[in-house]
Amino acid sequence: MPLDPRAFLPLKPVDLQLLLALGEQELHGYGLVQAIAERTDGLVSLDPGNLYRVIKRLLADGLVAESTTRAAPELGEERRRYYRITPLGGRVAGQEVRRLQALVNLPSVRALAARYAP
Amino acid sequence: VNERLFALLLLCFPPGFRRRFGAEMRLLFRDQLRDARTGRSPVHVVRFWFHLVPSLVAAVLLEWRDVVLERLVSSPPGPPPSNSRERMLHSMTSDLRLAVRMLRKNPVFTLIAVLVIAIGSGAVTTIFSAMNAIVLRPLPGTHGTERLVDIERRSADLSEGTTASYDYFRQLRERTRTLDDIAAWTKVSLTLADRGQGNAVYGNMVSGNYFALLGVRPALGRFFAPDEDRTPLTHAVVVVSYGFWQSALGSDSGAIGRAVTVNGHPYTLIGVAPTGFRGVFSPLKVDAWVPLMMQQQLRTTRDLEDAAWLRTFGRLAPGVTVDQARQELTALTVAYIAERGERAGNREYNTIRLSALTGLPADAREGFLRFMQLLLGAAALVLLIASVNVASMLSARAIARQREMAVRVALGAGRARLVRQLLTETMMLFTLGAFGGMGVATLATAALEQVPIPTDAAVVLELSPDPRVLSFALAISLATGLLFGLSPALQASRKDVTAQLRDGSAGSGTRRRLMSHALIVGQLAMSLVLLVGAGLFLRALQGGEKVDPGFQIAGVSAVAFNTEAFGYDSARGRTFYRALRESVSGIPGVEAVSFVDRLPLALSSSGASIEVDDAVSGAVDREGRVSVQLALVDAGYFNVLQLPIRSGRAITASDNAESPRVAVINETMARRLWPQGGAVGRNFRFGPERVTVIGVAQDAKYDFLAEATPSFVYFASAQNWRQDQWLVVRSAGDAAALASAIERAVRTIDPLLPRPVVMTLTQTTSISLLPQRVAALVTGVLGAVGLLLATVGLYGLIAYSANRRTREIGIRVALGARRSDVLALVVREGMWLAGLGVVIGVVLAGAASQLLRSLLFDTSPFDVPTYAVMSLLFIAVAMLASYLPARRAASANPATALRAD
Repeated sequence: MPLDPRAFLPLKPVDLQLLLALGEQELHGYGLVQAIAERTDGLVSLDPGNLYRVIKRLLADGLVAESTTRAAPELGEERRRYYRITPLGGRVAGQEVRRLQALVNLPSVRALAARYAP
Repeated sequence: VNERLFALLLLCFPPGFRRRFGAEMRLLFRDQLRDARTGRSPVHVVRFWFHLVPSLVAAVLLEWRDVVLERLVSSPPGPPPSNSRERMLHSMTSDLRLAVRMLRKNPVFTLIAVLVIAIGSGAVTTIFSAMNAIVLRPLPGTHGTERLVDIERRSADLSEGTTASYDYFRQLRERTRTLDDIAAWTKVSLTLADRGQGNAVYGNMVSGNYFALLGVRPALGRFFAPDEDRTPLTHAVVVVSYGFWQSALGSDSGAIGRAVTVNGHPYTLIGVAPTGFRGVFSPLKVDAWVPLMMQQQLRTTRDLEDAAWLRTFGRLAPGVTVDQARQELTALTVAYIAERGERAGNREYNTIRLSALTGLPADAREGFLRFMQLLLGAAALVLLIASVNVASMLSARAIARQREMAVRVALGAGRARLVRQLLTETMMLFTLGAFGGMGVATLATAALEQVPIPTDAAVVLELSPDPRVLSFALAISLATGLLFGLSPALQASRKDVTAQLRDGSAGSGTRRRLMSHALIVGQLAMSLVLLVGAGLFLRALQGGEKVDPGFQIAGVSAVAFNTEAFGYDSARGRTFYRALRESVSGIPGVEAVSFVDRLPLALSSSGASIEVDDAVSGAVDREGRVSVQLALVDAGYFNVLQLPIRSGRAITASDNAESPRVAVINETMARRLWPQGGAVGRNFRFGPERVTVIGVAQDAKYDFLAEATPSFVYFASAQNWRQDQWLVVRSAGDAAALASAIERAVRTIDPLLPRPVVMTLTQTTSISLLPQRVAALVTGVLGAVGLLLATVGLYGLIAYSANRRTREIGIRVALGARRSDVLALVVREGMWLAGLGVVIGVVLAGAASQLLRSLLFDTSPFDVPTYAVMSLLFIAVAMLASYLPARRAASANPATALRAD
C-alpha cells in the first residue's frame, strides 16, 4: 500500500535522527544511541526510557522494521535486535530533509540566521 | 545492584511494552552504565541515574496512558467512550507535563525534596523488604505455592508441638480429603563426596512428592520418581542444589548420572535443583536432597516406624478452606491417637495448626514479625519526619508561588484545577522519591546481607526487593504524598486573589507560622523518640554483655560433629570420639576437653519432664512430674566451661553405659525440689530409667541471657549416646592455632572426613544478643538520619525567620544592640522549639519504649541516663542549627539590613 510520505511530516527531530542513522546501516539499540549522539554532538541523548518509545512508534507507523540479519553471534550478540529503515521510512526521511532544505534556503530564514549569528 | 534496580523499574511498564522491549532495554542500560562507569568516579553513575529515572518515569506514565487510551478507543460495544473521561485523561497528561516542567525548572528544590523522600521511604522499604524476603514472599524457586499449608501437630492449647512419625504421615496422606497431597521432610547432616575428601552439607530427606508439591522444576536431570518413594533402601539417588553444583561440581553438565558417595555409601546424582531453591525454611541453606526411603542408611538412629521426626506440608484441595482442612486433619489425628493408643510424652498432640508455607516455621515467624514490626515502626517515624520536612518545603514554596497562582486564578483557572496541578507536582516528587527509596533499599539490604550471623549452619540471607516491595514503596510514598501535599496545595491556591495581587508581599499570617513551627516541633520530637530507642538498645547490649552467664566464655573453642553423617555406625562413632578426645588433649595449650549435645547460649534448648517421688509439695504436678531443661555432657565439661560444682561431684569417665545412671543438677532445681538440702544422692525417674543425682552445679545462663533460670539437668552422654555432638575445648593458646591443630587431628583419624568448622564460644554465644545488636544498629542509623532531617528543617526555619527579621535586626543594631543580643534573639527562637520538641519527644519515647521492654533485659524503658544523654545531644545539635543562621544575622551590616524590603 503506497502511503503518502507527506502524511508523516513534519517529523519530530528524534524520529528524523533515528531514520537518518538507520539509513546508513542497520543498528541495534546501543548502536543507535551512539550514532545519534555522534551525529548531533550529544544534543540528542537517548536512554532506555525514551529510545524504545520512539522505536515502538516508528515500528507501528511502518517507518522502521526489525532486521532479519543477526550480526556477530560469536560476539555474544545474538540477543540483540537490529533495526532497519523501511522503503516508506526512507521516503519519509527524504521528504523531511527536502522540506528542511527548502526551509533553510528561504531568503528570510537565511537573513535571520545571519543576523543572530554567534 | 544497578541492574537489579533497573529490572525493578522495568516492571512498572505495561506488560505488552515490557515483553517486547524489556530485554533490549536491559541490554542498552547495561551498555550505557558501562560507559558511565569506565574509568570515572561513582558520581558519574549517580548522574547517569539522575538523567535516566525521570525519563523512565515519564515513559512509564506515557505508555500506560497509551494503553488506557487504546482501551477507550477500542471498546465500541457498550456506550460510546464518554467525552469527559477522555478529556480528563488529556488534562491529566497536561498536568503531568506541567509538573515535569516545574520540577525541572527548580532542580535544586526537586533534588533535595526527592532525596529527603527517598531517605524516608528507603528506610521503610528496607525493613519491609527484609520482612518480605524472609516470611512474606513465596519460597524462592517454587511455583503455585499459594495453596500450600504447613501442617503442625500441636497440643490442644497450641502451646507445644511435635513432629510427625512416618506412620502418622502415611495415614494422614491416605485418609485426607481436604488436601490434594501431603509431603514430608526432615533435615539430615550429610557428607557428600565426588571423589576424595567429602563436603559437609545440610541436607533434607524428603518424600517422593516433595518437589512436585512445591512446584519446583529441575535445572538439570530429574527429581525423585514415584517408585523411589516406596521400598526402603532400594534407590540410592541424590539431588543437589544449584549452588553446590556450581561450587563443588564445577557446573559440570555431565554431572548427572555420576556416582558420588553420601555418608560413605555409593549414590547416583540424578538432578540439580533450580537456582535459588533452598528447601522449605529458606534461610537455611539446603544443598542436597535424598529420598525418605534411604533413612536406614543415612539416619541410622531413626526409624521409619519410629516416633515423631518429620515435618509435613500439603496442598489444599480446590474449594477447600484452611479451616475445613484443619478440622478434618484434627479429626484424623484424634482417630489416629485412639487407634494406636499413642501417647507422646505427657501430652496428647491432638490439634492441627495450619499456616502458610513461607521462609520460617510458624512460631519463629511470629517472633520475627513482632521484632520487624518494631523496626518498621522506627522506620515509619523517619518517613514521617521526611514527609513533614518536604511538606514544610512545599509550604514555603507555596508562599513563593502565591503570585503565580493569583495570576492564574485571575486568568480564569478554577481552584480545583490549581489544586490538582499542585498535587500532581507533589505526587511526581513522591513517585521519584519512591524510586530513590527503592535504590536506598537495594543498597541497604545488600549491606544487611553482609551482617554475619554466628551459627554453624549455613544461613543465607536474601533480602533484595522484588515487585511486591516496589508496589509497597510506591503505595506508601503516594499515600504520604497525598497526605502531606494536600494542605500546601490548598494553601497555595487560596482565593483572595485581589489581596494577593495588590500587596504582593509574601504572606505572614500567624496561623501559617504556627503551623510551620508545629511541624518542626513534631519532627524534632519524633527524632528524639528514635534516638532514645537507639540509646535504650545500646544500653541493653551493654547490659547484656555484662550479664554473668555463670561460666567462662573466653578461651573455649567448639566444633560440631555428626558421625552419622560420616557413615559411621554407633560403635565406630564412639571410637571416633574417643580418638578425637585423645589427640585433642595432646595439643599444646589445651587445658580441658569434653563433648556436649548443645552449646550454651545458642538459642537452642531441649526440654523434658522427670518424675520425682520425694520432692517438696508444690514443686511437682499431681503425677509427680516436673519439667526441666537438659544437656548431655561428657567427662570434663564443667572444667571446660569453668562452671563450679557446688556439692557432690562432676560427671566423669567412669559414668559409662554399664554404670548406674547419674545426673548433675543446677542450684535452682535443687532448691526447688529439695529446699531442705541434701539433693546429692536423691533419685528421680527419666523415662524408664532411675537416675541418681551425683552433684549440684552453680546456676548459669543456658538458652539466652534474659531467661529466668530454669531447672536444669546434665546427663552423662556416655549413658545417653548421640552421634551428633559438639567438641568443646578450653585452651590457653591462640584460637586460630588450635583450630588448625583440631583440623589436623581429624584428618589423621580419617582423611576422607569433611573439614571441621572450628568456632569460638564467643562467636557462638553472640547470637544470643543478635536481636539487640540488629535493633541497636537499625534504630541508631534511623535515629541519626531522623535527627539530621529534623535539624536541617530547624535550620531552614530559623534561617528563614532570621532573614525575614533582617530589617528589625538592622534597627536593633542601629539603636545599639550588641552582637550577642542579636545572637541570643535568634537562637532563643530555635531553643524554644527544640525545648518543646524535647518535652514532647520524651513523653512519646516513654510511651513507645514500653513496646521494647521484652528486648531490653534489665534496662528500664525509663532509663534516666539514656533520656538525659539523648536530650542533651539533641539540644546541642539544635543549638548549632540555630546558631549558624543567628551568626549570619548578627554579622549583617545594619545599613544594608535597613534597606531590606
